[in-house]
Amino acid sequence: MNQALTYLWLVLLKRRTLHFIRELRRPTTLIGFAALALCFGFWFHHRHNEVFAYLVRRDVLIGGALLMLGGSLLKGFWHRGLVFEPPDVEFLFTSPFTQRQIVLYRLLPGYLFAVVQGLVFFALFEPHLKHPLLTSLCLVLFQIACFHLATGAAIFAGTISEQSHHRIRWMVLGVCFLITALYLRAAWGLKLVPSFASSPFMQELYYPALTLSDIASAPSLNQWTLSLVNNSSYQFQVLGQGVIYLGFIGAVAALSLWLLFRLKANIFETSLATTTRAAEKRLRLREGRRVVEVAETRQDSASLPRVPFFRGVGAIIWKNLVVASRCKRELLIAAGFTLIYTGFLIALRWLLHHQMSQGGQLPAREVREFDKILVGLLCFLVFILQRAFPFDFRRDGHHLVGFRTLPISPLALALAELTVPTAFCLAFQALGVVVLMILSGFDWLMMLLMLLAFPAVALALNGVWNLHYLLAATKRAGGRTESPSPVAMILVVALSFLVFYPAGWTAVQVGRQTYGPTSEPLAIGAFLLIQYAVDFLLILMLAKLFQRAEVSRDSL
Amino acid sequence: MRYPSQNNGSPPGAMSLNHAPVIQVEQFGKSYGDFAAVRDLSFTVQPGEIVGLVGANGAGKTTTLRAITGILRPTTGRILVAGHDIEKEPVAAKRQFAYIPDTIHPYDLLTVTEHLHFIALTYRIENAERKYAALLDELDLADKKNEIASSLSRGMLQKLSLACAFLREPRVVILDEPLTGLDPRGIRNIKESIRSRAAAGTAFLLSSHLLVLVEALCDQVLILHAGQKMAFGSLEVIRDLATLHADASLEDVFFAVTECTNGRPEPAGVL
Repeated sequence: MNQALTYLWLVLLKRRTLHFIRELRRPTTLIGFAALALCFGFWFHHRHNEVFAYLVRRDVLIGGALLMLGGSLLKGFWHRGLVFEPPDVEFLFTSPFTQRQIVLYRLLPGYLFAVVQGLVFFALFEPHLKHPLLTSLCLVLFQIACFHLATGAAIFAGTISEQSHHRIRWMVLGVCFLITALYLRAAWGLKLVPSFASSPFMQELYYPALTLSDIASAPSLNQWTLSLVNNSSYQFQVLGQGVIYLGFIGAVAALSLWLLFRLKANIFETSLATTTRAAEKRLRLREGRRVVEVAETRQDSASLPRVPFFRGVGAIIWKNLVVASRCKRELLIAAGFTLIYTGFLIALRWLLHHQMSQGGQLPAREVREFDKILVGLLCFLVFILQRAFPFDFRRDGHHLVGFRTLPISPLALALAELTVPTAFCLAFQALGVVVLMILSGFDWLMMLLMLLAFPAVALALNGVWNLHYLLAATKRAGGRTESPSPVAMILVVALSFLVFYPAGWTAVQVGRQTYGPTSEPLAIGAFLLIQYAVDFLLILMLAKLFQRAEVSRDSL
Repeated sequence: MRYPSQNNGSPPGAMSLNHAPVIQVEQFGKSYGDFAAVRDLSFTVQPGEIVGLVGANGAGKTTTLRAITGILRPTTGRILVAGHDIEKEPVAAKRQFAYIPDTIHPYDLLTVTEHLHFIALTYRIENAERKYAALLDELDLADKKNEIASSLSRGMLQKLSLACAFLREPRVVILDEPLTGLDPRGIRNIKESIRSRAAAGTAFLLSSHLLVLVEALCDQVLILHAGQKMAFGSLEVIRDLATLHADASLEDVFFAVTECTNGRPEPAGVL
């Protein structure tokens, strides 16, 4: 390892650690960090629980190892070239470093990750292992070998043509899927591949190829899998066995590194393209732009709408509708997901309907409760759908500053921005509602509830996610480099639930205080009233935050 | 050394259009914590006037333009656009100007024509489509009207931005580095467009590092240095006051003004 590269890596590591510590002064980062620390502390406190013993069973560990191997291979191959940080391209690629030195420099964060992962493993699973240190060391070395595999796959993928890469990529994915299916079937008896795929008729199509069931029912494999499942936990029986395992995995890690260095491929050209692509993707995500580039640069322009609704602030709604119409891929994915989700709910209701028509007796009150649960689940669909329709501030991140120069009030603009995603969520939900209505025949109260509650929920969820985006945008505008962090994401997910707490709590209280037939309508009314008030507050906050989005002093 | 301003003087091309100022900046200051980006800046822009804002990097040009457009809130002072306070009546003030920033971000998935539609709808422009053809021809964008804007080059984006600005027929156009990325023909066309619109009464406030452009195009020049106004007036006036010879260029004037007193500029105070 080159001295200069070691110095660079250590300095960057130190800077990032200090930066992270400084960031802890911010309440959101501190809360997120405290949540993670508490989570780890909770696990550590309960590390003697049998759940942890279950997690170090042989079959689970082998499954995990397969997942790590398959994941590394896929992740590496998918990239087609190593991903570096953009400054690395400028400084390292043009400096007199050998390819091996640069590859090793690229592997250093991975090695650090492997060590940290090993420490966490040791801390949590130590009570359930006979030789915890040896097992943890095995995990560290195995993870390192996986990183070598991923790096090798990425470098190799860069040497082949784009067409071949595209084909092999799907083949690798297929192989990974087959290995997973085989593992699940052999070790856990789970059938991932439907039985008709291994039926004699289907086998004729593949003849003389081996089918999954041929492999799974092979006597030697069966014997091996039985031995896996029968062992209660993965423990080296004697120290010598552990040392042999450690030596073997260490040799694999060393051999994989040696093979990696022997790879005759120029990493620079492919890494340049991959790094640029990854950096552009990160930037686009951060700025709320579309990750996928537009394939067709020439389109039929939409005509100027004559409807007065689209004038003034309505222009924002029109613009977002045009953008949505150009995002067919996203809409198709959302439609597919909605069909699967609502299809499941409709199937449940149809099953009940069918059972009742066959003479099954169920009190009307229970049927109504069942319908209420289905409506609730349909309402929950927005939670996932809103991510598929970012036709709001999330897509307009680049234009926040420009919007400040439009002759539109911030409140109207915030409301206009939320209109399209909310309308899309409601439109997609409407499909499920119509089918459920045919099967259920909802009463007027339920209809009214859906008509009023669905928009309130959709508005609230879209509001929360936009609020999160605008908060990050204002921090960016203030000169801080903000990128989406998993902690922030967890906080937003939590807030997505908490935003319904005031309305839900009020509804429960009203329901408890009132009796008789008016109790339910009153509780629903209270829920709607509070929820719309919360929605209004969210929109107000969006408007305020939008007003605050000043540009950075860096660009004076 | 202090250079008095000549901000009440009218430009040659706009003598007959000397009404109330379209931009009135009074004692404007903008601070970020302890750092003062702009201090105590006052100037006016009259209808039909082309005012050039020049200064080194970090002088406060972009901050000033962004405050005028309502993107940044002034820390001190007030800014009026066509008589409307940008802080108190932002919507009314924003109807009066068009702003073209230094970095242009188009809507990723809208075509050139759809960008114009968007502006027409936002500003409620009547019979907007009739104006499209002339504008697109004027800016050499006619053959790109159905192109997705994100696929356009930097120069084309600049033209699209100008088309969006001119479509709304504002009383004042505010441009930050307006000629970046344009080809020679594009530069000439845009200079002509600016001049013809200024003659018709539209005011222009443009910030640029290209002193040659400012000298050729602008009636008035505002020189900023380290967040302070160093001089404001026509080139002749500033040149006289800087005691430079009659054919000294704006570049000579700029350096004379900003590098006086051994490189430590002395603010102009109330110019």
